[in-house]
Amino acid sequence: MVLEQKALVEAGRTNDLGYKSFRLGGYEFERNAYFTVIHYPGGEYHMPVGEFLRAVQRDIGWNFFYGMVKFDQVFGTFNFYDNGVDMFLGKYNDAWQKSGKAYSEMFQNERISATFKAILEDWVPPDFNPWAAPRETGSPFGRKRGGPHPAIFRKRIVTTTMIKDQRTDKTHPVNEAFKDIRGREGEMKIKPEYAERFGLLNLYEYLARNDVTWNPEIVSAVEYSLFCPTTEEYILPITHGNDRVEWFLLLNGQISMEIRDRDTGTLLAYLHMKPGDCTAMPADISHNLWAPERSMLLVWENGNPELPELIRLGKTPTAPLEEFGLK
Amino acid sequence: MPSPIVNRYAVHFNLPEEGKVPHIIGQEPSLLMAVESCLKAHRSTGHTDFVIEDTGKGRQFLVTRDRLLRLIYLRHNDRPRYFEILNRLDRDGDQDELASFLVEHAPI
Repeated sequence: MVLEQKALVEAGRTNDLGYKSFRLGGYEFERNAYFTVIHYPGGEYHMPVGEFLRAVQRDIGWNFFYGMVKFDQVFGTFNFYDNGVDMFLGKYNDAWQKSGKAYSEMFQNERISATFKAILEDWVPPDFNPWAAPRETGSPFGRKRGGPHPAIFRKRIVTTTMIKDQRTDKTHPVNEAFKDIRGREGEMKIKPEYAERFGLLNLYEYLARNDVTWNPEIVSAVEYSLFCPTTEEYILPITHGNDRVEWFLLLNGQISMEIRDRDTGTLLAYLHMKPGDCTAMPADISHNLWAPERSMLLVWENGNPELPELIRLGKTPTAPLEEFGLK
Repeated sequence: MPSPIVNRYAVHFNLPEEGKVPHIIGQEPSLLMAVESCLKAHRSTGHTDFVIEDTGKGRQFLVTRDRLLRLIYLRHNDRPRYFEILNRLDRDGDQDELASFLVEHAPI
């Protein structure tokens, strides 16, 4: 398995700072003290290395997620599931499209996945946790000083029914920002023969102990209805371009959102969410979020694998209200 | 949706007598996705002839029965080559290049 993984990765030379470069099709990735440099047949593109590593970590952690994951307004990936993952530069940016600079290349999931994992293992410093908020971790900058931070190997929680075990001090201490927001477990009396079928867990307490930011994890699943709560702080490291309608319910804190047209990046709206606010996002937009304080957000996803195809063909509505026959 | 700027490939059925059927059965952002759209339509209808129009570059790819079968062969037996040719043609090239590549690498 390890050998197979290595065969999928094309690692290049090690530079003076100790970092390897990586080739993937027409792309070549290299990092220096401050930036990731992405070489492609049309030239090169630079991104601050911290932003790049935080974005790669989410993209890998979510297995390329639903639809588009933009690392910034230019570079990113588009998940076409069994058909592959499209890695693009400028393809979904109006100015890049019009100037003819856009480039994209489709890869098998296994290949792009193996390359991104190799980049994380080589480039993430031992004191920089890409999942953490900036106040909780060290710097991504500078020459290679060992690594990587063990958090890069963290597995996303994906339950097929619901989570039943509460987190404890031993493995998940309460986050500093949530010391005053504690949930109390309810009571469940249940006949032993039904114990497998029911569960009860206080979500506030569970999220107060969350050890990552900007990472929707599936805590309950009923067929295609997926509850994916997450804790947020600072800026969502990626811009998510929807391929389906998506719902957000803010449980506490505050979150602001920048909504853009998914295919051109044209700015459409700003939203400011307060606790209790619910938003339903159309399937043809992209959104970036920022949270000035640590906040709890419930993301509700429809996991139906046929949705992207139906939406691409215009066979199902792109706006949430239209799904209920409203305008 | 779908945006014609990004989803620039239009996929049509092709009939032996009448030629391209005007109705679009898929609009895709890459040639690979357009071919996948043909394969999907083939699986559900049994139809074997398609036309893929690249509206951005004014090109056209005729997917005949022979080419479709070779694409299926390549997809199952040599996925890296399948990605390689469709990625390359996505940026530049024509249907003759597709045909000669398939003859060379998908011997059926």
